[in-house]
Amino acid sequence: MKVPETVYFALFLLLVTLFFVIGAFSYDPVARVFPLIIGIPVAVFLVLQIFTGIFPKTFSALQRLDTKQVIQVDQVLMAQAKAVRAAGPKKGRELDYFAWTGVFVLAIYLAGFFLAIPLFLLGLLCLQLKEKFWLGVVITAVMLGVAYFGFAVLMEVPLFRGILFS
Amino acid sequence: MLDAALQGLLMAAEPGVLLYVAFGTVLGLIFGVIPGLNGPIALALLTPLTYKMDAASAMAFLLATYGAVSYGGSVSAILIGVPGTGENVATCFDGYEMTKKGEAGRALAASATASGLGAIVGVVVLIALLPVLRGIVLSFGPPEVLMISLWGLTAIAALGGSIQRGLISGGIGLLLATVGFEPVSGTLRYALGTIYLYDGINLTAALIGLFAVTESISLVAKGGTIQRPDIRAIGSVLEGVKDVFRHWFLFVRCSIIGLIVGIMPGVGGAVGNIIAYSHALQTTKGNYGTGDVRGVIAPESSVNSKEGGDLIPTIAFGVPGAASMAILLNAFYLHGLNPGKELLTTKLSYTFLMAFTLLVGNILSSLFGLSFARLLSKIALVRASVLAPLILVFSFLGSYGVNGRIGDVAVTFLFGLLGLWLKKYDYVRAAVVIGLVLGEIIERSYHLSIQTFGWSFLLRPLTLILLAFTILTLLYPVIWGKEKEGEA
Repeated sequence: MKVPETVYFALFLLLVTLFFVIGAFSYDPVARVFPLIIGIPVAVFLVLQIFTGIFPKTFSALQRLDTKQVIQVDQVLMAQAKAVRAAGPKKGRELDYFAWTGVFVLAIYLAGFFLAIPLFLLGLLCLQLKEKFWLGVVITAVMLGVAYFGFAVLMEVPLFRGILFS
Repeated sequence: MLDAALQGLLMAAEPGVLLYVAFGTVLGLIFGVIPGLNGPIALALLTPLTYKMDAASAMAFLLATYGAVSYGGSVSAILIGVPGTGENVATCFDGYEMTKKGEAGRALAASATASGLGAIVGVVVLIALLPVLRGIVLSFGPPEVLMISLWGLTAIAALGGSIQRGLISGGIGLLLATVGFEPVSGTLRYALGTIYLYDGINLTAALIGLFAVTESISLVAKGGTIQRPDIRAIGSVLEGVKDVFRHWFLFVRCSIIGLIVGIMPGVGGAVGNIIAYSHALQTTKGNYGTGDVRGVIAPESSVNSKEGGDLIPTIAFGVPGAASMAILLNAFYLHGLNPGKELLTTKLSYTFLMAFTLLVGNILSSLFGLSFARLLSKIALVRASVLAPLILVFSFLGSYGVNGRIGDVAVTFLFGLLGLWLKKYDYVRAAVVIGLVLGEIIERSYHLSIQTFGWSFLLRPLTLILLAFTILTLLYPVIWGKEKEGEA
């Protein structure tokens, strides 16, 4: 039996919800009531989501009831609209780019914005996206300018210099 | 009331504020015209820039941007057949066909006129409703605030497609809002031993992650380039303006549709423009889909009148009806503007300022959009691979810029990941955002209601009505679904 991906995400959300629900018991009655009132029904819905995902046939009635549309929209037009917006992302690529973003955040933490920005932009544009090097340099220069003049000078935000240099 | 209106007008007419309106309009047009970017991304990215501005300039800047985004989206929908935002999808159907027939100028002018006039309808209704709303809001106590917030959140969740996923999304948002000090007893919750979380999750950082980071990653992953359009003839611009007046009744009807869509939480402009288009299709005879100007007028008049409608629940009750309004609500708080009683009494002039700047921003965007349509259509051709990394860098700079805390950068990153998953598995990001924004208000109102009235707070007349609305909103799809099955 193949478990759909959506079940894993529902499981993750269930764990997060349970963290809030179980954690609530360690607080005084006033502080615990709200996370419990919200968390318990959310956990129940998530369990239903998980069961609906694993046993779609058994829970098909629930699924049908759950996805009823309230606002009636011409379905032909909606299909046309979907076609206009079409072309979904290629599988797995989103996570590649997200990994690049993770490296960027780590670089900010270690080396600060002024080193992380060129590293990230040149790396992503030239290595991953295969853009021309000169374009990468121009974009990096523009973004460094925005960071310096827009944030450090105009907004007077001293940009983080990284734990290695501060 | 008149004093506040005059004060609002004077604030809006200040040269500095007008400059921000113009700047916001240009930025909004650029965000709108680029397929993949939209209002929530624009507002999330630009909110940190307003941090050093005074409240009037910040609101003028953000609302002008918000107003211009949807018109920008129609420019790319008409000229290159790719809607700039989800709100302009229906504009493509006939707008792009008109461009192919050499009538781009006429379509753009019809869109600009319908948008500008639609915005006037939205703002006029917003201003006209202010005295009524003030009366209602002044009678509100904590129980009513609690119930209306819950109703708003439930509506967003229930109208989003899957009721369960919508409610889960809203619940997750509310749970995340409990991190930090509890608003009544002051107990520290879920701080994980870090001082950073004492103040709770930074909303601006979270919103940037959920929208700007998520969307820019989707944008770059989607990739691809848009084919350069061959716009040889643009036709008569004046004809497009006349078209709107020629079909004035259709314009009025679709503006009202937009207004209702705006006021109703959770419906959203992406559905609103389809509803307006399909209304035109059903009520008038024409060659829709082959370049009929009414196919441009109908969706565009609904899109911009919706913005005035959007502001009504946000300003009056502090209940945002859509993700962009939740981000705007966060900006309200950032600048010390509390919706509800305050924005309808002591700071009523700011409400008028918002209405006026939304109006001016919309009219300016129509004028700018019409004047620089060709240039804007070129901006729409910028490759996603060039644009998305820039947005990513700007997102993290912005999230750090608000408080100068490196923890905010981490929050933006984590919420970016959460946003990607929520989007991928069809959960409702808007409900998460609204839960996050309203969490503290709902919790405080709940405790104050219990302390003041006990459980009998549920029996207050207004509370009962709002509770009935909430239950109906939840049950309506179920009842409606049964009827459909019966019909079948």
